[in-house]
Amino acid sequence: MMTTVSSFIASTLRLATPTLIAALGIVFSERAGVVNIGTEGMMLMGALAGVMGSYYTGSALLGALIAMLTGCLFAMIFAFFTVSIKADQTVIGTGLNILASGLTITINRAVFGASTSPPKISTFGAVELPLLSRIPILGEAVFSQPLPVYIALLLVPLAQFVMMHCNVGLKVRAVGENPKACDTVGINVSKTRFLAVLYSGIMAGFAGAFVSMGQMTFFTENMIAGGGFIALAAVVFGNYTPLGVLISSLVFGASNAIMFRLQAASTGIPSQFALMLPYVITIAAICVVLRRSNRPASSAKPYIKE
Amino acid sequence: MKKTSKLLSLLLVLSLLLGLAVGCAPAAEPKEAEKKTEAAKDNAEDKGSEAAPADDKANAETTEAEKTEEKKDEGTEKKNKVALILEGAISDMSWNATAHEGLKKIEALGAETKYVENVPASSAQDSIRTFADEGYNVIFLSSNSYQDALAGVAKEFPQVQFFAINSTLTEDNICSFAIQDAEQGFLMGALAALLTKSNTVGFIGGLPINPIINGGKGFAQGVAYVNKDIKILSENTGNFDDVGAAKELGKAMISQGADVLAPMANQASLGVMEAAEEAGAKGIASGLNMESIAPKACVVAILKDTSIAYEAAYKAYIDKKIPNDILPMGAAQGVVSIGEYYVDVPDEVKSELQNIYDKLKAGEITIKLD
Amino acid sequence: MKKSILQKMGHQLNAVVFPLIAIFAALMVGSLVILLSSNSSPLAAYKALFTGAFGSPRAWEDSILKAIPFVFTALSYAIANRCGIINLGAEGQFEMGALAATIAAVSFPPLPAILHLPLTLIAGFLGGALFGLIPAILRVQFGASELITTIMLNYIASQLISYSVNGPIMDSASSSYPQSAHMPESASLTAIFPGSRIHWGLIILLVCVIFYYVFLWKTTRGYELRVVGLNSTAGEYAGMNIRRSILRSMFLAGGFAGLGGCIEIIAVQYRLMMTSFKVTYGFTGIAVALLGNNHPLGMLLSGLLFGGLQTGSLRMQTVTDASSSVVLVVQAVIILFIAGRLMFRIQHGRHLRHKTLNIPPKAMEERGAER
Repeated sequence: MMTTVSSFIASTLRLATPTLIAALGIVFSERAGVVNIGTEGMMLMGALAGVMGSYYTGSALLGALIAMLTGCLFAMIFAFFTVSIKADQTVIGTGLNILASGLTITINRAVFGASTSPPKISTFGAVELPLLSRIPILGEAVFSQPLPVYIALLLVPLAQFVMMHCNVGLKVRAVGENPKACDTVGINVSKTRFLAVLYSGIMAGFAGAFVSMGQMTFFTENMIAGGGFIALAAVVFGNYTPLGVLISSLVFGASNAIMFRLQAASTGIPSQFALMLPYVITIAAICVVLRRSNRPASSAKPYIKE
Repeated sequence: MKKTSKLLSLLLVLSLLLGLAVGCAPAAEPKEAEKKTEAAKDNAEDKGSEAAPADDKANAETTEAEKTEEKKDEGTEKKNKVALILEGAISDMSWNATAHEGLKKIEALGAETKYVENVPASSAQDSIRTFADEGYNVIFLSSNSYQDALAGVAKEFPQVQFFAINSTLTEDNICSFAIQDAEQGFLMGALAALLTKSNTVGFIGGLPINPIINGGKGFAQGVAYVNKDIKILSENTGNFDDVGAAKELGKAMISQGADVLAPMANQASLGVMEAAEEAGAKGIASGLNMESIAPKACVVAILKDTSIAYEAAYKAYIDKKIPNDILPMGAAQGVVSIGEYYVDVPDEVKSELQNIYDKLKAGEITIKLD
Repeated sequence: MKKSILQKMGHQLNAVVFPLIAIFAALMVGSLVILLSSNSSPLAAYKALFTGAFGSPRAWEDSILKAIPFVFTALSYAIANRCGIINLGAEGQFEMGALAATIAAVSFPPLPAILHLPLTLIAGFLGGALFGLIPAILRVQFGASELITTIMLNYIASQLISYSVNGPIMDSASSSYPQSAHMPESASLTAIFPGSRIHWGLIILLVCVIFYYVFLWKTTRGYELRVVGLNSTAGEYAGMNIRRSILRSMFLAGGFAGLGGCIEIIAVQYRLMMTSFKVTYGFTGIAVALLGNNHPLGMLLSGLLFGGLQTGSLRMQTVTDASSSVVLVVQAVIILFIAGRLMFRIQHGRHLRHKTLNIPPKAMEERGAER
């Protein structure tokens, strides 16, 4: 029983982490008024860049750094089109997702070839925190996880503080809420949005790197499989705050963890319905949460100076 | 306003044209010999369809050269052109990857080969026609979802020999060969039963298609052959690509007491092996190179080397010994085999498994599939 | 205000020039990918791509066949877009249309084709339309953004397909491969001319395209729908029911996609399988709608182009060693350039004074031209 609870918590955390990392980035770009539909593609690029970085440098951390850079580069394209040119955010995001899918297949084949074995790379192994990891149940579940899990958890309060109490956070929120007023008081709306998008790209790249090097130890084609969209949904469900995002990511993680256990328990429920669960929960959650939403007033609307 | 935008677009077009010139030039120069024959081939093929390309003249010389070369070829022996149509990606490290490997083996036998990947069943006919028109005379189909497509088109190309894996068609120019997945499952099950200490073993399949279902049946019978009291957890992930889902399913089975896992889910199998590695359980691989992911957990690979089946089928074609019935491809043909052990395993387990394998080969064990 | 002929011509030119630039730019980027990933020269690869798509009568036929579902999903994206809704769910609606049609086709006792065929088509339409209504209802009832709900529903739809072909509608006769039974003849669409493979689905598509045009530009409801898409507040002031317009547009959007899915199954694939939707019909439809400027004729042409890319990529893989991911990249860059074409006009900024969400591009141009 104990091990069941502890393994359930551990897999919830592990499954929630990519969503959490990506959502912590998206929450800023969302608040600034940009819906980053391209997260999926940025994560995919990050997943490959991380593996490649780790392959060539021999260090998972350096790999993650390269993944973040790649995510940032991809986000720059997104920001250029949506913020500078003010093109439709959804369409550009969709385009970038398709581009990422094509590019990762191409680059993966060019670098690693189509062999029957994955390349050996250094990955994020479990890091047991001294003392803490010896706490019964929780120790095993929470304090012997790969490094990015701790980073993600630590980032939550930090992001919450920055968003709610720092100048930067205030600026971001204001730009999303009332860009016109910001413009009149001298806040550069485009610049703020551009930077917010870049930040979300960096985090998406990191999230992708965690998928390929923390959850897995290799890159496979289209391995993100909708994770970017789930992260977007987590931001809405988490009511556009970092703390809320933590909760919603954990709910998604848990619903996934339950799903696998449902399957393994041979309950007779067709596996397809278990597999639907996370998406159904997302839709339901979004509908419930929206009643008291922090959704910025100018979400998804480009700002055009008059 | 309009002028600026027109000017801009003109500029863009010009710069892109420049890009084309720059982008293409270096590609054409290296590997000249290769490129020329390729371009020439292309040209020759295009003559049939009347899309006359602008750079025809540039290639005219090479075409001549190619023609004489071709004549020489015909003088000695005409090369077989073998094509392979794949439903997935050749980088899947499993079903499609081994099929691709099989194609390489056929190439080593002196054939000219080509593959297309990620072909959905709805495009299979187009693909078959394209290859047949290109003069390919042997076409392998690597998925039984192509069966309808093949049945509809095979008669149009009597000169082409089709090989369909795991299909049930037997026509004049269609030969089906059936991989004995159940034998592989049987061996995996027997080994799992020999290894387990908790008396609980897990089988994780991918998409519930025939090969996987048969593998699962074989697994259960293999376990029971060794010990009837062992508990079997058996589940399908529902697809072949979701490595994460397979890993979680593996972890869930381990938390229910399984200490030996046997995945049969193509690429997704990797996730199961990872789960076993992390939890200190054992994994029995159903494909190659799993030990690089799970060096401690991966005991051995019970291989279903489809590439051998492709090679064997092609050899039968060269020798003109294609039967009118379905070709079985299992232990007896060397398609199903036991790989090398990656971790220390007691000798009596090894010899017992070998014993069972020999019985399978000799046909002394029959697996029920209904 | 009357448009001068010159303005009109400039407008037409824009509608043609930008797509052409986008296609060209996409081929450029694609050639980089080819250089990176293969030993073939981009020219050889593109030549194969082109001859594979439009180099022979049979190639044309294939390309048209492949284009039909794309134009259906493009219609789906376009009609929602005209109402200011971003329908990323054409994928799921397409699949649900296919599922509903398959159920109607295989589960009835033998019926005469005159009954069975319309029944199947209606089932396909309704399957998609009702699935399309879900995000619309969630939007008008709870304000849930359709961006996210439609994507989530896509995943749900594909699980429903997987469940159905593994369970209730699995063909017991064809071993245990997860697929439906073969479509009965009474529920299949046949070729228009004997000897060709172009089926009656093309005629149904053309009827839908005409309907799309007539509905949007010649009926009051269509006019309302477009006004809501342009500026929902203005529509509200004019006494229009925004909710009803949104529901109507998504019902039709789902219906178009569903009909497309239905036709793909009963005229091309003949069986519903787990791998029936490996081609991303929905997302390709977005690209087709964008490239075609949400215009009926434009979508037909761009649909043909994307159908051609699909067919040609097979030949490209066959005669060169360029991989099919090139086509993905080409597709993506086309989308980026078309959506980003405002970069050529943003400097004047005049047209964009209204900050309304998601102004359909065509409508924006019309307004621009009117000034």
